[in-house]
Amino acid sequence: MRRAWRRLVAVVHRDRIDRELDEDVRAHLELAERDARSAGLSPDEARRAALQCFGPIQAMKEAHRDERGLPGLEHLVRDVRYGLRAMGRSPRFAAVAVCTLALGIGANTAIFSVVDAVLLRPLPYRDADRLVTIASNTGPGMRREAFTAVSYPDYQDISRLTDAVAGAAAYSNDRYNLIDAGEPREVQVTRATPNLLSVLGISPVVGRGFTAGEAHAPVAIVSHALWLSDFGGDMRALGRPIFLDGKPFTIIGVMPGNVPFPDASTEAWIPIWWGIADAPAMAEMRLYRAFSMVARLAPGASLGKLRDDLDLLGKHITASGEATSKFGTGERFAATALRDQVAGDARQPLLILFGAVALVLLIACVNAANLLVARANGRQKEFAVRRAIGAGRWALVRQLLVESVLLALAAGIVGLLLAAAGLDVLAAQLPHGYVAGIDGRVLGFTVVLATATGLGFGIVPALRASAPALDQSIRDGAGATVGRSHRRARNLLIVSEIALALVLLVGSALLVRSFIAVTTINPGFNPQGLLTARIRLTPERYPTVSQKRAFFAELVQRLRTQPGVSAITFSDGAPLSGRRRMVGTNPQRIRPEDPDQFLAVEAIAVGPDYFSTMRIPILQGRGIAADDEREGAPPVCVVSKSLADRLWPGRNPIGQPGMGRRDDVKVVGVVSDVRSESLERAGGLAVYSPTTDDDRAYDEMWLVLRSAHPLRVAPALQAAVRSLDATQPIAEIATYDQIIQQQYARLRLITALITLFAALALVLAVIGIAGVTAYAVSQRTRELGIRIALGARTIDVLRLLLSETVLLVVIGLGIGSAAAFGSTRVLRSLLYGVTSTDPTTFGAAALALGLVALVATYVPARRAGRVDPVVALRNV
Amino acid sequence: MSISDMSKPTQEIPRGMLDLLILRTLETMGALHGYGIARRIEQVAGGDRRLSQGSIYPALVRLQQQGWVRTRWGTSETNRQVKFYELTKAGTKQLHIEIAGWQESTALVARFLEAKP
Repeated sequence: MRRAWRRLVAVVHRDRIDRELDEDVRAHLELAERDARSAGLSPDEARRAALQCFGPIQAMKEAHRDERGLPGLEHLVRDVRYGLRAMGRSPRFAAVAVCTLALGIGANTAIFSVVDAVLLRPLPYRDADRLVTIASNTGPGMRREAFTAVSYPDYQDISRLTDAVAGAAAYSNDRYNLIDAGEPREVQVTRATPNLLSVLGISPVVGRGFTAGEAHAPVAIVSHALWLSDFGGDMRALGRPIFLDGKPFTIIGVMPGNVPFPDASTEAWIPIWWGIADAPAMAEMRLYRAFSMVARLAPGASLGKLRDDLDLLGKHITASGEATSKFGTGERFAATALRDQVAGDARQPLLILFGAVALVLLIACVNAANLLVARANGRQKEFAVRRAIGAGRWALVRQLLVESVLLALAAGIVGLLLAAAGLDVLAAQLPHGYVAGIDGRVLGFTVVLATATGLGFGIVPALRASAPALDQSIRDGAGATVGRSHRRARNLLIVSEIALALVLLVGSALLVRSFIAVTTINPGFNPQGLLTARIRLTPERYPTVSQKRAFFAELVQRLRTQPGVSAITFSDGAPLSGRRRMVGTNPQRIRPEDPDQFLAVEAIAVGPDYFSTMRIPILQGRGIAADDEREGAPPVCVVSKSLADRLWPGRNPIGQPGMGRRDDVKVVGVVSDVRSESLERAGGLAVYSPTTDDDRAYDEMWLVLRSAHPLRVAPALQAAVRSLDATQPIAEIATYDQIIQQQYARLRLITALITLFAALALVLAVIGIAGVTAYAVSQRTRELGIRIALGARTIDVLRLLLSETVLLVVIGLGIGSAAAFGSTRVLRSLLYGVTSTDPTTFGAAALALGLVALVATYVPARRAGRVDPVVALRNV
Repeated sequence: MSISDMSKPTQEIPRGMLDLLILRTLETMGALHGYGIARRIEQVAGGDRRLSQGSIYPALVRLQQQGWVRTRWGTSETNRQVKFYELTKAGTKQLHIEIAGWQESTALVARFLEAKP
């Protein structure tokens, strides 16, 4: 220990200690010389004898330094100094290498910081990896793929699986109109069993959580954001009320700022049964499915154990014959780790992007390695000299690796700057509540990545350059022809760059084709010029359907005459809004030969002029008219084309008994399909009925109006709502173009990023191939000169150089196609209208890359054709 | 790689032994400068084993860092300020430990060499 400290001190004081050692040596030699002279030697002989007895001074000094200091560290410092000097001698080489690597490292850093934020960083709950969500699947034969909400009896049964579950909470999401002194607005509220906070393992920053007795109480825990915005972060907010739908809830606690449960837009948590009149009945109904579940695994229990227990429970419930839905019996559960649930859809695209940037970095590494090889060839003499004065092979390798790591670290710094700039764009696209930025973890990743990169691309050039072939290099510097091993390295480089770049190009081309296909999808209606507003009337202020109807009728009336509004309607659902009301029906009642007993159909209650405002083509019969809303009017419905084809194939659907609240409903029209769930999913089975025929309409309505300048009408819409009821908020207001852009926002981002990375890869590959060809030409000047002197024409020389490259490019394209064929399947879930192995796309990408590679070879090769044989032969 | 290396193959003194020789020299002779230590070792060792005199300096710094030897400034025979090396208390103790160890191992080796089949 003491020795280690003294060694460190000796490193710090190395100059003084070296000076003192020099003094010692000088005194030593002086004394030895004096003794030798007194033994009768001449002054010259005496000096020589003294030196001889002393032994090699330089080696002794090295030994002295190694003995007293920290040899590893000192060698490293020396290598770094030497490396910096070597770089300073060839700044152009350093700049090219650093820029190349910085692109690769920067892209990786940016994507890593997002991956870290979304996938790697733990969720802000105690032992968050022990939390799972549980969903249920019911329905006839349980064939529907979607797992959905559980019932309260399900929740209670699962809570009793104490071998697997240490605690479980049920919750449901709700929306309320927050009405207080400020502008009224809609807030997202979570109803939860009182134990939610203890299951998650969090506690409020201020106040307390729910007590077991508060399942029905008007109390609320508010989000940190709401506490700051509405109460200025005042401690006295505790005990004060917030008014949800006008009802007072006493604030008992404030959540920590980073709790995105169930998602980051939740602003308040209230007890699960508050205000639900028939709560006791609901709590016992297995078919009332309204709850989501989060559970904590029991100590020692695995997710697999929980799944086994849930399977048993499901079988038990199925066997009991209890009704689990309106359509029958049977139930099955699914448990998912909370982390997977939260990261959800973001996971795969992020991993794809991570893979793409890894490819870019690989190409950058190949380029940098090639630069190093070329430069090492120019430094052969320097290495030979160093070896001649005693540097071992390991010392040379170490020196070269230090240089490549230095380059990579410099590139890491530039890359961090690039990543920071790029993250500004990326961060805006993250799932709500995630924050990505350059922090300690990202910094650490970059340093490790840069070091690994430096070692990775440096090791082969270092081993090659240090290989003992020194007599040759000392003697003749540049050979007449290029050595076989260098040619092999060059071939490998061209092949691998082409292959890597092709994988990215194919991926990018597939995504671009999908993106174009998605943006040109006809959604079944004309979204241009449509403005929509979602309005949830505060139930306490509008308790009856007729009051709600009156509000919307008046609103439509006022807006219809508004300048700029060419058509207006309303409905209780809107395509692509993310909210669809599905009803189940048995198609065999209408068409006995139908294979299914259950069909999920979207039910939409629409006002008059819905189809003309949305511009949904009416194919047969008529739409829903104002007359249909009259009291006592015969009940009617309009069906979508695909529903008509399903229920009445080959028959005229008009006048058939349709679907609706009443059994005597008749079909009066057929409209074309609308893509309601998503742009990619072809149109659905839908039934439209007048709003008067549906009790549940009017709870939440979409006002839809058409205008040449929809955004200009928005203020008029807001003013109209405010003048009707100043306490009534508009939940959402957007043009349909915005809603549709939202639909493909993610595809657009991924397509843009992959295309950017593919472009980077292409540029790097072109630089690499052109550089390698130029270098090869310069190395072969003499050979080419001889060929030209012997009568080869320019075209012959070009053909010679190009034919070599063409073969390599073809091999690279072959390998790249195979790799792309194997890897583009990861894109499958993102693609639309094109398969992941689309031959046209593969062929076009390969052709384009091949042409670019040939140009990259041709330009430097052309120079070779102009070699003046006299100059070439004289100059070697 | 110096000239002396090539002229006559010399056997370097092993590192542990060199430490022992230096410590013993300082114990018998008291404080000495580097040249004095080297000369003394050569004299006692006789002509058969040649010491690269320089090799005592790395050994000296090692012994110093271990706290067995300390330096002080003095004046050489050529009237120059030089470092004199002397044994510390810990060094004296260490010397006796090493001597005992050395004697033990030479005795052991000797017994093996004398042992009859």
